[in-house]
Order: sequence, then C-alpha cells, then structure tokens
Amino acid sequence: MTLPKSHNYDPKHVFDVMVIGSGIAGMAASLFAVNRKLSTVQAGSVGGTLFTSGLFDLISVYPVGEKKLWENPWDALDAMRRDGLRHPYNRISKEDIQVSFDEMISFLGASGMKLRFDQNRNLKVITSMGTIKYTYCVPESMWPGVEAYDTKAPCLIVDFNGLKEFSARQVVTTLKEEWPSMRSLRVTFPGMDCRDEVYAVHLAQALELSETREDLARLIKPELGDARFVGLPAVLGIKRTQTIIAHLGRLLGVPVFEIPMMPASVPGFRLKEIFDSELPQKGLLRLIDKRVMSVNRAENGNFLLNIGGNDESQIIQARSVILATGRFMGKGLLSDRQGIFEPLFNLPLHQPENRSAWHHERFLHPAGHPINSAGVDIDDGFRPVDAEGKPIYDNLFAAGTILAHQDWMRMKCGSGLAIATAYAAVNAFIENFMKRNTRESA
Amino acid sequence: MIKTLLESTFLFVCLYIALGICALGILLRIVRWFAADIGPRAAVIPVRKRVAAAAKGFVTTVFSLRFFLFFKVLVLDVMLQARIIKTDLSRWIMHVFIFYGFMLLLLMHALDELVTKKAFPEYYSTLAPFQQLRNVFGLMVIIGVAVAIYRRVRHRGPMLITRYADRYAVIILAVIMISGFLVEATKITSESVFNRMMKDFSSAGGPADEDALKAFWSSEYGTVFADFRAPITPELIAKGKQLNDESCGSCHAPTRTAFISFPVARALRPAAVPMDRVKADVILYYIHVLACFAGLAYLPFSKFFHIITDPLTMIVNGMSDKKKVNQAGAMPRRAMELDACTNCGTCSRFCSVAPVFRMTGNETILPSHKIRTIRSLSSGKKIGADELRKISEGAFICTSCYRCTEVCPTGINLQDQWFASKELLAEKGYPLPHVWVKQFNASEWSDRIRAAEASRAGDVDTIKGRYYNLTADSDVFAHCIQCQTCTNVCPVVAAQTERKDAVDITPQKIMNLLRLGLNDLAMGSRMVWDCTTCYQCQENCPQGIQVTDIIYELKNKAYGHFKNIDRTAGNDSREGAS
Repeated sequence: MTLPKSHNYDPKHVFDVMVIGSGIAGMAASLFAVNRKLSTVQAGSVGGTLFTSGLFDLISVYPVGEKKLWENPWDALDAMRRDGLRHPYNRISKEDIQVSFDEMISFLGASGMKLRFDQNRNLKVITSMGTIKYTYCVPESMWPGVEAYDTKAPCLIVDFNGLKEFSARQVVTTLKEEWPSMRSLRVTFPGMDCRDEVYAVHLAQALELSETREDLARLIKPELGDARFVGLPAVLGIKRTQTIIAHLGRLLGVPVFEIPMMPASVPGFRLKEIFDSELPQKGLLRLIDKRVMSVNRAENGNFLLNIGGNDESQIIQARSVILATGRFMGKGLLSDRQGIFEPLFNLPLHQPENRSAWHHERFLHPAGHPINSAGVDIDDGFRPVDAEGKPIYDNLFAAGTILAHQDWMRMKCGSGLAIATAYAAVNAFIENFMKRNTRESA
Repeated sequence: MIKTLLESTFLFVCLYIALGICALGILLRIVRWFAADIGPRAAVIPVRKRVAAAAKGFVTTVFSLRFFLFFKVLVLDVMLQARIIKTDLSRWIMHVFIFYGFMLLLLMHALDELVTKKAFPEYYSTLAPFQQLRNVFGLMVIIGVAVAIYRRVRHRGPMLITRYADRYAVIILAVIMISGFLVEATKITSESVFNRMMKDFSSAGGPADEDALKAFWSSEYGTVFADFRAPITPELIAKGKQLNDESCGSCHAPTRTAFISFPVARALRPAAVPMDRVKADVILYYIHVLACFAGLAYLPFSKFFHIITDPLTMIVNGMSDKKKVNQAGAMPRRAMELDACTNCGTCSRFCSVAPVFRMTGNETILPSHKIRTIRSLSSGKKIGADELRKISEGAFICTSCYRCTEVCPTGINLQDQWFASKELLAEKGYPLPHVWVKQFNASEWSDRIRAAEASRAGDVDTIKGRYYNLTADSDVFAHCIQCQTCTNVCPVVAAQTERKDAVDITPQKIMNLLRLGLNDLAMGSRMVWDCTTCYQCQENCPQGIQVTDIIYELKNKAYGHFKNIDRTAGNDSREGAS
C-alpha cells in the first residue's frame, strides 16, 4: 500500500471515479473527471497514446462495406442515426460530441499542442505512404500540409537516410498524378552520418537543439527550388514542436509541416508527455504502469480494486469505475477457444456465436469482420448491460473502443469515439449516479 | 636491580642484530613502495618521478591549511582508533587493549631505563604502582590476544581468514607476555634471587634476622625456600616485616601487587625448588627477551608492520584530496596501502556485492581477497590465465559503491586500488567484459556459444532452474508488436557516435530474436552489453514487456557462456570451443 508521498494519498480515501485504461479514452475520461472536480484515480499500462498518429478522427467512413468517404463528418453521423445503428455515437447528441472535442482540444492547446479543425469538414492529410487520409482534427504542425494538399502548391518532401518508416520518394510517387509539383529529397540527418538506422524519437530529441535545426535547414535550403511548402516526417521535437516548426520555417523561408508516421510515433510521445505531466497537476492520481489485477465490490456498492505492479499490490476504493481498457491490443478483451471475454468484471459481451463466425471467409472483405464489432453492450447511461438490457452495476461505466457495435478502424472514428464516450460516461456518472445517490462520498 | 640485559654480551649482540634487521627491513619495504608497479601506465613512470611526486605532495600538504587535518587524524584515527569503533566494538576493544597494553609495556617496562626513569626519578621496577601497572598492561595484551583468537575462531570464514602471518603474530605476542609473567613469577619464588638480594642489599646481621626475613618473604611474598626449617610464628613474621620495611621496602612493594604474577608464583610453588635449581628465571628471561628481539626483527616482514604503515596511511589519506589522483604520486601510496592492509575483513563484511560471491563462489569478488590478488599482481608473480580470468571477474562485479573505502579501519583508498587494478588487468589482456565482447559480432559469438555448448553437452543445464527464466518463457515477450518504442527511447542507441561502436541489434530486434528462438544471437549483441539498465524501454513499452529485465538476464547468461569461451581464438568457431 505504498504510493509516492507527493500524491498525498490516503489509503482509506474513497475516490469518486477509478478510470481503468490509459489510452485516449482513459485519458479523456480522467480529464473530464478532474475538470468536473471529481476525485479521480487512473491505472493502466503505459498505454495506447503512444500508438496514436496525432490525428483526431471523428468519422469518415460509413457504411464500412461501401467504403463511403464523408467530406462532412456530421453528415455521416446523421446517416448512422437515420439507419438506426447501435453504434455508441447514436447514444450521444451531436452537440455533446462537439463539446467533448472542444474540451479536449482546449486542454491540449493550453498544454502546448495546438490542434486545428474545420467545423463541418473532414481534413485531407498526406500519410507517410503518400495516401490521403480523412480526419477531423490535426496538430498545428500538420496544418500547412492540409493547405498544401488543398492548393497543390509546389512542395518538397524530405526524408532521412536510415529512417525506415518514411520514404519521401514513395509519397511523391503515390501522389504524382494529382500533385505533379511535388518533389522528394533525401538527406543525412545532421550528426547521424555514422548510422545505418535512425529512429524517430532520437531525431525529435536532436531537433530540440537549435544547432541541429540550423544544420538541417542548411541541407534542405539549396534544394528548395520553387517549393512553397516543405514536408518532413513527424519528428519535429517532442516538447517544443511549435517553436521548432516556426524556427525551421524561418530558416527555410517557407512553411514546414509534419507528415504523420507509423506507430510508435513522435506525436504519440507528445500526447503521452502532456497527459503524464498535465493531468496529475489537475489533481489526477495517476498510477503509472500499474494495472488493475482484480475487482471486488464492497457491501455499500463501492469497488475495491486490487492494483498490481510487478511486485506489490494495493487496494483502491472507488465509488464508480469507468472501464476504458480497449479491445485486444489494450487487453480489455481477451480470447480463448470458447470465445472472447472481459477479464476484470467478466461482463457479458456482444460477440459472434462461435469462433468460426469471427471472420469473413475473405480476409480483405470490405465490410470487415464480425469480431471487429464485438465488445461491451451498454445502455444510454453508458453502463454495461446484461442480456436483458439491464445495467449490471449502477456505478460501472464503459467508454472507448471496448464498446460493441463499432468498427473504429474501418470507420475511422477511434479518437472521436474515445473522447465522446468518455465524456458521456463521466456525465452519466454525475447525472445518473452521483446526484441521485447518497452513498458515502469522499 | 639486575643490570640491563643481565649485561650479557650475547643478548646485546642479539639486540643489535634485531635492530639492524628491523631497520633494514623497514628501509627495504619503503624502497619497494616506490619501485612497485601498481596502477595504469606503471612502466612509463620512472621511480624518480614517483619520489618527486610523493615529495611534492608532502610539501604542498604541509604548507597548506590541510596540514591541520593532521592533528584530527592523529587524535581521532591514530590515537582513539575511531575508524575501528565505527564498524566493530569488539575489534576495537581487542585492538586498543593490545595496542595500548603493548605500547605502554614497551615504553614503561622495556625501555624503562630510557623513558620511565627519566619521567619518574623514584622509579623502580618492583615498586608500586609500576609493578601493578606492568601487570595491568600485560593483562590488557593477553585479554586483547584472547579476544583476537576468539574472534578468529568465532567469525571464521571467507570474510575473516586466519593465515600464517596472523598466527605468528599472535604466537610471538603470547610468548612475550606469558614468558614475561613467568619471569616475574619465578623471580618471586626464586630462593637464589632472594639470596643474591640479601647479599647485595641487606644490612641485617645475624641468622635470626635472616630467618625472620625468610619467614616473612615465604609466607607473605611467595618466595620458596628449599630447606627453611625454622617454625614460622606470627612473631617471627612480624619481625621479618619490620626488617623488610627497613631494608627492602624502599625498592620492593609487596609482591601481591603483581596481581597476575603473584598467583602464578603461588601456583608454581610445588615446582619452585627444582626450577630455581636450574635457574628457570634466567632461562625464562632469555626466552622473554629473545622473543621480543625476534618480534623486533620480524616486524617489517610481519603483520606488526602495520604499526608503522597504518598511521602513515591514515595520515596520508586523511589529508590528501581523494578526488584528485596523481598517478605518479599514487603509486607509492598504493604500495604502502597494500602493506597497511591487515586483512581484517571489514571491507568484505560491508561489500555490496558480497552476495554475488555467495552465488558464484568467486572469492576475488570480496575486497579483502581482491587486495591480496593486487598484491600478487603487482609483485610481478606469474599468474595463470584461469586465475587472471577469475580476478577480472571479481574486479568487474565490483560496482565501485565506495563502501569498502568508507569502512576500512586503516583508511586505505580501496576505491582507487580497484580502479588501478582494473587498468592493470586490462593491460594484461583482461579488460572488462563489455570491452572484450566487442572482439566479435553477435553471430560470431553465437557460433562460439553453440560450439561450446555442444562440447559440454549436458553441463549447460546446471544453471537452469535456479532462477525464474524470463528469456525461456515465451509469455514474457510474445506480445511484442515490434513497434520500436523501446529502441526509440533507448539512450544507448541514441548515444552512438561511431559506426564501429554502434549498437548492432536494437532492443526491439532482441525481442524478435527471442521470439525466433535465437537467444544465442541475442546474447552476443552489443546492446546487451552496452545497456545501462535505465529502464526507459521497459517503462515505455506499450505492451508491458519487461524489456530491461530481459536484456539484463541475457547479459548474465551471456557472461556465463563467454567466460568459458576462449575469446582470443580466431574466427573459426570450432577453434573457439574450448
């Protein structure tokens, strides 16, 4: 039962909310909870934030089978609502979704990661493969790329020797048809000429130094030609990206933008950095790299959570739990020969009848696989429900990709789903539980 | 009083021989401090420079403010022996008893003509309180020696090993002390001594007076007379006491004040007459004095030498700046320190990596053993390859935590000794493992490991099963999705500047090698050896894999293999299997 003293943590303290999971949904739930002055504790492994690209999707593909792309995400939501889908989005009003995004964006902006979006439009972003991805919201560092693509202005894409995940030539080749004025350039990253392989985070760390940026600009500048934009892989610093981009832009005389890369990406590190450092300052007790090993329920209905690390464990008491453990990657769902299961509360799951029904016969079937929509069934209060549709516990809520009836990878709705459902779950806890319940408070 | 050394020419010759040997020995050892090659680049620093550096260090210290530290060291460390009491009370008691007992005996008893007589003009060896004090000091030494023997029996083991040097020291001390008490006791019982004194000093005349004095001495002072037949009556004793006070009292306190020797004399009573007949007191005196001379001559070559080296070491190290090591000046200091070490074993008791010794059984891990190996390394003795490998293993397991230096009662800068000896080992072709591991790349090592395993089939499994085996449990690393987060956050990968030293197989590749079952390839990688165990990879792994723990285990396993492989062999793996 030991916690760092700085947390001022009393083992007898009863938390309002325990957030389980530290991906985008877990982090969003923690943010919304501490913003609403709830006493909040969060546990989870290092988390899925490292796997994010830095883009915040709302939704861009529906129906999945038709791969229909939507210029306006809100229209896609309307279409889903009309079709009466059980998608979690359909339990939240459009206004709430917008408000949840605004709250997250203003938090990230205040913490040094400015985000840009266009109210009623999905943005078109160049990926490291040279394909175009529709997304709702991008970091400021990628915004000039959106403008460059929209105008097809002459553009220089730069990559580095030894950086395996990013090829400027591939980007240019893929986009050649629609963007003929785009060129590629490969340089050796300053100070790394001895290496066969370079890694994104190391480049980002090196670029925090202004000398490195000046050296890099000296390499790029002679090749600039008529280019009005310079695109670089997303390695432009971890802590001071805005300053770094502005500095590079000044050195080169044209706007510089980042192109999102594969996980684990530098923007992912930036997000993790912000969540790890800012949320505890807002009052969150963040149990870093601690996982909830098991859950019991006290007689008064509070949850007793056994938090385990490698060699110690502690019990934390919370009046409610927001389950944001994700699906298989986050280990929120596990599977065996019998089917899939939820390991902490053993919740009943919406899932295909048997293993042979998990997947389509065609692996690349455009509609995806039934297993990709499996997960936890909830009511309008975001509480997991049993087969009859009745909430299992009045103080257990679920958010994020663990929820059933959505295929976030194919619909491109991961971040939006995480943020909006976390928002809905926290509000549901306050409205439906906290205000109506007389259970002993903190 | 009997004349100094019985005026025996033989004893005087012995004394001068012993003094000569002692002086020569001390000189020899001090010369050796400047000649011995201890530490890096020994060969290129000539003796002349070492002397100059030592002299310069001496002069600059004396003429600086640091000189006042001298008094602190002298009082606290040398006089009060505070460094000993810091770690061990029973040893402090032992040491203080022997040291002060012996030193006071030396000054007040052995050198009484030179010291005591000057300080106390009325001094006479058989007067109070000198007689009592002599017994007190003697008792102190004997108690000290007894505690020393007890400690060496009680704490016997790798931390406190009793060697010949320790035995000889204890034996010589014991012989000197016991023979000293016996001399005193036999003199008390001796009739011939009594008679000689009577002849020289008694003013009493008739046989009646002599009888009275004899009656008093035999009943009260313990003298044993061969044929004293007169009936001893209280009146006779009273008369004898009166005579004693008149004639003997000015030089003789009651013999009972020799509170050790007197009971010994009482115990010797039955044998007193025959012993007196063979002049046992003279024989024992010879033994006592010769033992002292032997001790004196043996001093520079024995453990007793620490009487000189330890205060010197404490003063030198107590006053000099430990952070700035001048190699030329450090060499004689190191040699002196090697002489100062008494093998008391304190360093080993406090050694942070002593538990490793308990697992591996390599005693060169323990500092008290290591300093002996340094002694033999620096003496230029031929040491076999196996022994050198063992020594180098012991040297590199040391974490330089500084504890041994902190606790050393002698104040030896052990830390510096270890650094110097590591360099010396490297010069001899036994550098630390992460240096020699770079002789081959991962696949060359892996070939060697396989060949070595094949040649020792069956033997390999002995280490298995003793610990939880991370690298053998696929559940530990199977979740790896090769996202490269570990490599991205790795400061070792980030820090490389030269291609030839570059990390060949990055952390995420090591995880993949494990999944492919290519553990031997992983073991041979430089990543495993250059890892600083900063735990960045493990803390950042999105899949919660114990990356650092795995790398650390690989390093341990690799070391277990590598030390059995002839690492000087060429690139043919079959030759590599030794």
